[in-house]
Amino acid sequence: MTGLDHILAELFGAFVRIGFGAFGGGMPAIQLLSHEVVEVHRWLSPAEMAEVVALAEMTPGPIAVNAATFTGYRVAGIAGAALATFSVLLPAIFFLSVFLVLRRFSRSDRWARKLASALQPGILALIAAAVWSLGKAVIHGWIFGLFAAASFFSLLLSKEKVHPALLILLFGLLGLAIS
Amino acid sequence: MKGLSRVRLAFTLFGTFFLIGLFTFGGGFSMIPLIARAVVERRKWLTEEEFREDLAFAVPIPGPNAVNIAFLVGFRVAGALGAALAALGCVLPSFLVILGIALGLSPYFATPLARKFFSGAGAAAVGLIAYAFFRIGRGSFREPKTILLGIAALALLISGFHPLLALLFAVLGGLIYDWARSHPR
Repeated sequence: MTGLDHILAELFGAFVRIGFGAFGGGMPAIQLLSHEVVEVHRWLSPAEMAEVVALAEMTPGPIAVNAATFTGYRVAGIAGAALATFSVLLPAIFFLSVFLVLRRFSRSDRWARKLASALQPGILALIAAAVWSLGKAVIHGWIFGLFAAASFFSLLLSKEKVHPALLILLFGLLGLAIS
Repeated sequence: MKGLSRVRLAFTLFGTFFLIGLFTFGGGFSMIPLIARAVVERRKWLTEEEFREDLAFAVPIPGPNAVNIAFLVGFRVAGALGAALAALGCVLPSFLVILGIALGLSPYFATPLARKFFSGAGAAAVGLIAYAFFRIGRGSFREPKTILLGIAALALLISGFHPLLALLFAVLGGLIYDWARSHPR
């Protein structure tokens, strides 16, 4: 194997492992990322990793995907970025396909509906926890609390006539204007 | 003809999820109101029930929530091609943005401007996720079982348990609850 092939193979392996473990997002994903990317392969320094995490928070998209793109590019250019991004999603594609095949070929999909409703309380708890943890991270001061409340109530009171993306854009621009 | 319209649907899915991916700040849950609006309210591709079911499976299956939801919704609307293109559309904006930054094409992100933009957009995302909580739960807030298990799972999450463990606990708790209800002493 040439040097580049070797690096691409390592990127593939590392990001498939990250993709396997990184669900629920947030902290578990970040710990797994730093383990593979910083400690095992030393592709990024701890300081660079911290920068990637900060960057991932400010850009759209899941943190594991953002980190894969960035690390892949650093290590092996655009091909590395594409490969690492694909690799981190491969376990998801595999498990989703298994689930869809099971649902497709089982005699009835009643089990899927039952399991989904059994998952509901836990999902609600995860969403509530996301409100809490993101809120803690981004709501500094009453004005940002007001932004969050305004977004919530515009959706609620307009019965979703207001486009959620418009709210992101509007309050992002207001964030630029006030600080 | 049916095959052709399915391909066309798959490309519409790509466009829809590309736009959604562009605005997914602050974690996958913030895209719930965006997806619900696009695929349930506007295009009526999915019923409320189907959407909730896809979301319920998107979370415990390994992989980023946003991509998983896109994949499952895409499959319902236009089969395997729909799933692939919806997931690709959802990932492409973040891929391009990060690649642009890594290539040094975007001086915007080197400045504190991005941080300021995110401070406002992130706050809006908190509102979006809070709304997602309301939207997903609104049918079940009066069920004692949901309230009980939800609060217990939240307590586990806050005390640092892995999200998957909290989910598993809530599912098992639900089974025990149902069993206890059907076996009154």
